[in-house]
Amino acid sequence: MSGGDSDRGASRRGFGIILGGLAAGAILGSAVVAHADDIKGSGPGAAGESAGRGSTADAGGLRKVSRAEIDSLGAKLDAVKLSDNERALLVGLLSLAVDTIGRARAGNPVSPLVTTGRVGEAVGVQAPAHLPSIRDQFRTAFTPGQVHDGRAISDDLGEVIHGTG
Amino acid sequence: MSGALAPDPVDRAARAAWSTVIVGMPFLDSGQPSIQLGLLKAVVEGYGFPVRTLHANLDFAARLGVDRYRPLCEHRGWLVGDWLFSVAAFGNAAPDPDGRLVDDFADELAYLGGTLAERRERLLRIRDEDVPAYLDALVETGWDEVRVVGFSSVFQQNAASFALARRLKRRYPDIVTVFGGANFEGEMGVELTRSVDCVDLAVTGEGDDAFPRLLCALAAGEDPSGIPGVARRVGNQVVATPPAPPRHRLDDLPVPDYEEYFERSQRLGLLPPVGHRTTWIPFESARGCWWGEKHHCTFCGLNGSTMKYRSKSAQRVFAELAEQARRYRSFRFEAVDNILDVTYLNELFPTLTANNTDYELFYEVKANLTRAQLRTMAQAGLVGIQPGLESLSSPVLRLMRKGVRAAQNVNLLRWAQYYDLHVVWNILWGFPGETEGQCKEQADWVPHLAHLQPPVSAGRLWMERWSPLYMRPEEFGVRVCVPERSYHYVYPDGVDLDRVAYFFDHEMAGTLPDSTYRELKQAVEEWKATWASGERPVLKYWSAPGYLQIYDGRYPGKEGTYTFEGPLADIYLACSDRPTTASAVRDKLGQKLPVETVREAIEEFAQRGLMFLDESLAVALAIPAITGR
Ligand code: SF4
Repeated sequence: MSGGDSDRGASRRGFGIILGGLAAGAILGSAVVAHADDIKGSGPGAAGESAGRGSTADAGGLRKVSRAEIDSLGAKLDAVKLSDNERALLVGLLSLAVDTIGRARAGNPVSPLVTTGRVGEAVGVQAPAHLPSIRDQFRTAFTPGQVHDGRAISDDLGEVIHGTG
Repeated sequence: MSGALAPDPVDRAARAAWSTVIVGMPFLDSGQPSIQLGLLKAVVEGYGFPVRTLHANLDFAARLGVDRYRPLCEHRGWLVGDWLFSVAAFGNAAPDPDGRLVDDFADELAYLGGTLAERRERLLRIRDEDVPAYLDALVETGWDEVRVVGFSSVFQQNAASFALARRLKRRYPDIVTVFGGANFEGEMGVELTRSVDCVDLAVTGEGDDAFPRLLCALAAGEDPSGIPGVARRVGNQVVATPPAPPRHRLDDLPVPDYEEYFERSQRLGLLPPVGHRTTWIPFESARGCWWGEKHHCTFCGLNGSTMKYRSKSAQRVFAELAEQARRYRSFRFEAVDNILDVTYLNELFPTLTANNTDYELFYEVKANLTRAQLRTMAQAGLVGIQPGLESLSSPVLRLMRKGVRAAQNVNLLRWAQYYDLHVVWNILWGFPGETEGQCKEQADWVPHLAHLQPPVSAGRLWMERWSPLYMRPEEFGVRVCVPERSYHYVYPDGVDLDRVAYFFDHEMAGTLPDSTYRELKQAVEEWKATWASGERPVLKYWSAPGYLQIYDGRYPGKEGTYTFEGPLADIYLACSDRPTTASAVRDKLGQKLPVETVREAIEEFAQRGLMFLDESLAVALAIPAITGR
C-alpha cells in the first residue's frame, strides 16, 4: 500500500469503520486471543470499563470482544491526534489485520497467528506468545552448586522389585 | 583373487622359483600388522608365487623396547626416523654423520623426553649401535632362496628400507629389490629409482596389479618396465610407465594375510599369547575420497593419483571381518579408509547389529554425520572415529574447502561423546585469508567446549605433496615451497629433494604469523591438559516436556544448574539434535514464537556458553544426561 492511498483511505473512513470490518469476528489483542461475539447494546463506556477491569478473559486466556468494544476502540483511535503519515500507517496495519482475519474466517488463513475456525465462525487472533523479559528468565535460571550424580539405581528399588516375586 | 585378474600366463613352475619376501621396515608402528604387507602377500600368493611377509619393524621395536620405539613412529613431519637409518642407508654419502639434526631440531624432538644432551646420546647410540646390529641380524638368515624383496614404504620407512636393501644386495647380489608404497608414488618413485642404487624397480601407483605383473614378467624373463606403474633404472636413466587407472572392483581383492605378524610379534615377546584380542586389525573397505573427488580439501595430500572413490560391498566387508576375527582372534578392526562410504550406514552397520557381532570398529569419517547416523554406527560397534573437523570456524573451513560447518563439527563432538566414541581430530591454521577475528573467536569458544574431546593437536597446516596448495601454488599465493628442512639431514646430495619430499616448508601470501594463534594454542593446551588429568568437565541436561535442567560443571568453582521452563526449554531442545537456525526453531515449535524472540533466547544461551553460534546456525552444547539412546 502506498502512503497516498492510505492517506485517502484515512480521510474517507474513521478507525471505527475499519475495525467494524471485524464486526462478527475478532480483534487484535495483546492478551492471548480475542474472539468474536455478537453482544449488542453495550455502550462504548461500558466496553471501556470492561476492558479496563480486564474481567472478560476466561480460564484459557481467551477474551471475548463485543461489537461495542470494537466500536469503542474505533472511537478512541479516532480521537487520537495523529499526523497524516501516522494515520496512514495505522490504517494500513489495521486493514491488513482485518483482511487477514476475514480470510481466516473464510477458511483461507494466511497467518499462523490467526486460528482457523470453521468457515463462517469466529476466529481467534493469537498474540505472539510472550517471553516476558528473556533476560529476566536467564537471570534467575542459574543455581550455583556442584552436584555429583549418585548411583543410577539405588538398592531401595531392588527391594521393591524383590517384593513383587 | 580371481584367475581373471592374472596377467600374461607364465609357467607355474617358473613362478614357484621366484620366492618373494615383502618387508615392512621401521618406522612402521609395531602395534598392528601392516595392511600393505598382508594384502600384497595374499595377492602375490594368488598368482602362484611363494611369498612371505617380514614385519622387520618388530625386531627393531623389540631391540629398542616398544616404549622407545613407538614415539619414533609418531612423528611424520621431521624425519628423525629416517635420519636414524641414513648413515646405514647411504654410508659416506649420508649428509649428517655428526648428528647436527639432534641440535638443529631440539625443540621439535623435545617430545622424546630428557635433556638435549640425553637425547643426543640416546639417538646417536641408536643410530650408531642399534641400527647396524639390527640390520646385521636381519640379513643373517632366511634369504638364501629369495629372488625378490619388496619394500612397502610409507612415511618414515625409506631410509631403513634402503639400509636393508643395500646390505642384502651386497650379500646376495642376485636379489631384485622392488619398492612401492606412498613414498614411491609418481615422481617420488621415479626419482628414488634414479638416485638410490639399491632400488632396482619401483611401483609408482597402486601395487595390487602392478606388483604381481612385475613378478610375472621377472619370472618369464621379460622386461617389467613396460608394465603400467613400474619404474626401472636403465643406466643413468629411469624408464617409467604411468600407472594404470586405479582398480575399480575392490571386492576382487583377497583378504589380507597377517599370520606372520602375529607369529613374529609373539615370538619377540611383543604380544602376549592372549594378546590377540588387544590388536587392532587393519582392514580396507574403500580407497580414494568421495569428497575430494568433488572438492579437494586444500591441504590434503592423500590419494595423489588415486582420488577416485571405490568401496567394497557391505557383504564383502561383513564376510572379511568375520574371517579375520576367526583367523586372528581379535574383534578390533581399524578401517584404513580415508572416508567412510555412507552407504554402509544403511547396509554394513545394520547388518553387524543384526548379527550381534562384538566388534570394535574405527573409521575416518566426514564430520557432517548426524546423531542418528552415529547411533547406528555405535550400535554396530563403532568405538572410534577420525572426523575431518580441522577448525572451529566456518569461514576458515570454507578457506580449506572442507565442506562442513563449525556447528556441525561441534555437534559431531557432542554426539560422539554421547555415544561414547573416541574422537581423533586436529585444529589446523595458516590458510591464506584467515583473519585475527576468526582465530580469536575460536579461542573464545574453547572454554565452552571443555566437556567435549579436545583435539590431538592444533597447529599450522603441513604443506603436502599432491595437495591443492602444493599443486596450484599461484591460486593460493604460495611464495615459497621447499622440501621440509630435515630431508637435508637424511638424503645425500645426488637426490633431488624437490622430487622426493612429501612435506614442504612454505610461505603463503595472506597468512597470519604464529603469534596470532598463541591464544588459541594456549586454550587448546589447557583443554587437553584438563582431559589428560582425568577430571572431565561436564555439561549435560535432563528434560521433560516444557522443562529443562542443565548441569554445568565446565568451569571449576562455578558449577551450577540452569533451569528453564516453557518456550526457553523448547528452544534449547530444538537446537539439540543438529545445528539449526532461529526460523527453523520457530517452525519446529509450531510458529508460536516470533523469530526475534527465538533469536534473543539463542543469544542468551550462547552468552552463557550453553549454545554454540555459527553465523546463522545454533547448536546446544549440553549433552543429554541419560546416554546411549
Ligand atoms: S582431507 Fe579427507 S575429506 Fe578432504 S580430500 Fe583429503 S581425504 Fe578427502
